Amino acid sequence: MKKSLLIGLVIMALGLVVPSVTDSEYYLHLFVLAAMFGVLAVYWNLLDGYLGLIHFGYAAFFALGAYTSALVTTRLGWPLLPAFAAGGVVAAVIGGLIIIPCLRMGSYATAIVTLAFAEIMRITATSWTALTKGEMGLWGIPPIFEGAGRTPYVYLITAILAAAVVVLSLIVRSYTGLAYVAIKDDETAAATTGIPVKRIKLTGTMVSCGVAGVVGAFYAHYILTITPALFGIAYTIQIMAMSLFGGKGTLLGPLLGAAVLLLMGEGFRFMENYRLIMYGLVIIATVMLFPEGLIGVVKRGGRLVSRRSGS
Amino acid sequence: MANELLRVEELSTSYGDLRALWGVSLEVRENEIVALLGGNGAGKSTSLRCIAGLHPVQSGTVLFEGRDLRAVKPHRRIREGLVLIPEERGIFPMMSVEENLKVGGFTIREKAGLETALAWVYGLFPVLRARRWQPAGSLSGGEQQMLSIGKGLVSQPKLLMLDELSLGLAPVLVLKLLDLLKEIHANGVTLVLVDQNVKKILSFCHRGYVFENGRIVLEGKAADLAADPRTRKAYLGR
Amino acid sequence: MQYLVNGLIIGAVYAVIGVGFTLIFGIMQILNFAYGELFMIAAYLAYFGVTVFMLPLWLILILAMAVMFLIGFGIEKAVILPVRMKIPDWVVPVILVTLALQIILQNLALILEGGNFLGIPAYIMGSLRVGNFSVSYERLLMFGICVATLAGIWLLLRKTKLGLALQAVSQNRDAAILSGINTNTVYALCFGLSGLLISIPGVLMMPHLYAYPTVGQVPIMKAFAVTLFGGMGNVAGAIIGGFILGVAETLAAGYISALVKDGVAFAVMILILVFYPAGVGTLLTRRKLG
Repeated sequence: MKKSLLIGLVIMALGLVVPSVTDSEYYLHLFVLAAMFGVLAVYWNLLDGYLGLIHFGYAAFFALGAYTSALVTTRLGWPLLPAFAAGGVVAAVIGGLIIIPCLRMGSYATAIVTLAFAEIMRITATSWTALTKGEMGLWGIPPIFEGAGRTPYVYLITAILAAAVVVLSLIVRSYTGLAYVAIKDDETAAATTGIPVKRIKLTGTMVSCGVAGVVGAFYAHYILTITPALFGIAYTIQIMAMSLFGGKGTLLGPLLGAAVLLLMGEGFRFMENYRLIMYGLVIIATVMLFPEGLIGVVKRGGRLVSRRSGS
Repeated sequence: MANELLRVEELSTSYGDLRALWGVSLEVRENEIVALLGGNGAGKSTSLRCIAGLHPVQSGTVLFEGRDLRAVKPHRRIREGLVLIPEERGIFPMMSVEENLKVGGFTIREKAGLETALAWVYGLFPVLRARRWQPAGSLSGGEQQMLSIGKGLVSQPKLLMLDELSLGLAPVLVLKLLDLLKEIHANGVTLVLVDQNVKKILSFCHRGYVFENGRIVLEGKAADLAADPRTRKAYLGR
Repeated sequence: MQYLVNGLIIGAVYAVIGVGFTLIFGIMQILNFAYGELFMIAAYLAYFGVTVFMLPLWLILILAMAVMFLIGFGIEKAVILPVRMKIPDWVVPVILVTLALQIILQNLALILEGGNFLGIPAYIMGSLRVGNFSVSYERLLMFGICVATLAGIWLLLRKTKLGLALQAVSQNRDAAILSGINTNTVYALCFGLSGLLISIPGVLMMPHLYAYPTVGQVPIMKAFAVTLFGGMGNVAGAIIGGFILGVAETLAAGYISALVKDGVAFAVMILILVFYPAGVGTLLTRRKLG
């Protein structure tokens, strides 16, 4: 409990400090992206690292939240707060509906269904031009903070990130979290001891997709133009790479992974393609060289140091 | 005394963090029938899997005819004459009986050699010949076990290790299988048997080892083991 | 009638695509997400074969098959094998690696060749007319080669020692090792075979698609649908599934709208997964399962 709050406070403090250290639009923008991908990586990891669900369509729920919020504000004139909520709810409900058939079929089917769903959504968003304007993308989305520069966005996304991390750490430490551990360890055994495995997976997925939806809504009202490419596998792969690289099944690993990879990726910013190749290579290298991720390496290093200083 | 065929020294291994074997040593001489006994999870099957190469050995040595098996890849061990019939029936359910046997003879290069080996196995198990075109998955439990043994015999091994021979089979069938094993043994095949059915197995074997918690706690002549109260104790647990 | 003929022709292509994909799943229990990118490489090979080297189709096809076999084999040995050796529970890590490969290959193509849509004219001109419907010679050839390929793979699986080994590994891995089958060799050959199979539609479809970095998205979606339809890892099911998907798509495009055509594959996938996850192929080949 204390530890969770502490982590949240540290993140908040970081968010407050950053705008006073730099007023470069570019670095602030980078920080917003890192925090945003941080949330996504942490909650993708809830699925893969804690619940054993390989979700290959995660970006689609991010995009779903973005489109929902953008549409209800531009078409229906909704205020931002309910629009954000709508983005989260739509993503959570659809995320839940998609995962229900997967729960009785095992991890391969989950991988395929989620991937196929994301592709269907992408094609729909591309071809339903009356609603989404297709490849042209939606624009004219109202910004959250009118003409105020990037600093307020930094505060807002930091608050979202802090809240998201605190909530997840509370979940993981609760009874439900205990059930996660049991499911991860041995699903059949967990089910026989009376843990409602399917219900827990379903609610976990809904939470995860809902968070992606809210972050998507934030993104829409931050970037102000969205295209169907958001649904694509490339975004999911970035999120996955961050999560795995950081350390799957840990709370802070994905956050670390998001920050490090995003900064590394900026080095290749001049060419998008090289950046994606880097993400691919990072996944392969992580899987081959240190499956426990960056956080595992840090922990091992820390243990080594403390052992050496102890002796 | 007959030549030593298999020698295992101080074999240790684990499943993840769980230590499964703690320095197991045993030997099998040519033309022997040796039983590995013990309760569930005592380490019998794991020992066999290590010997066959399906599970990595963490420390200790396994010698087959004096040759260190660490230098022999798992799929090469059958060429040395070492065959394991795994627990849960090592058959291919969607292949026909004959195809299963052909996989068993995968290492035989000449067609004529394969034909003779198949004929020999069909001679031992006439029921397999009768069902040779049937999918293996459609056979009865006893027939599947026969196919499993038959498949192991096609390569004409020197040492045949059987894991849980009688698992899920009716007692009558077990007796029948033991008779067949006697015949196979008479053909010059050395046998190692793992089974829960202590009485029947001990009356059939020459020597035995009793496992408990990943260690060998008792070894000796089959008749002595059968009479020893500690054998019973190892089975029932504390 | 015209639709049915066209559907069967494209169905044969889908069947080949599906078999190459399902083979890897059947034998290794993994999904090869880089499968579509192998198609992409084959498409580029065909493009350069035609435009730069001006080779005849038969030579392009043979060369592409050989090259793609080696590429598939090489990918297994260079990237997949090290992961399998390092991690005992390798299925999910290997799937992730294939995903990473997909991204790498796509962007490599983008860097090397740019995002242009490279097209070539038809390999052969003219068409066969019977009564009031017509089929181009090229499509007939495509159908012929694909059906021959399917027959070939069927014979390979059923009648050769390699086929026996492939089947054995797919049905019971431990028992296959105990029978003296080298699983590492089988896995690499399986990847090679899969590359060889996808090279055939990759080359033959060139005049109809284009070569561009993300062209692999098209065949991999078909491969998913066909594989799911036939039952994961079920070769016979994939062949039947390929034909059914081809006909269904062509009919949908013909009678409803060309836009829904690509939706058919997805609809098939979702329906199958919801109602019959084992795949329809298991119904058709139940005898084999006993």
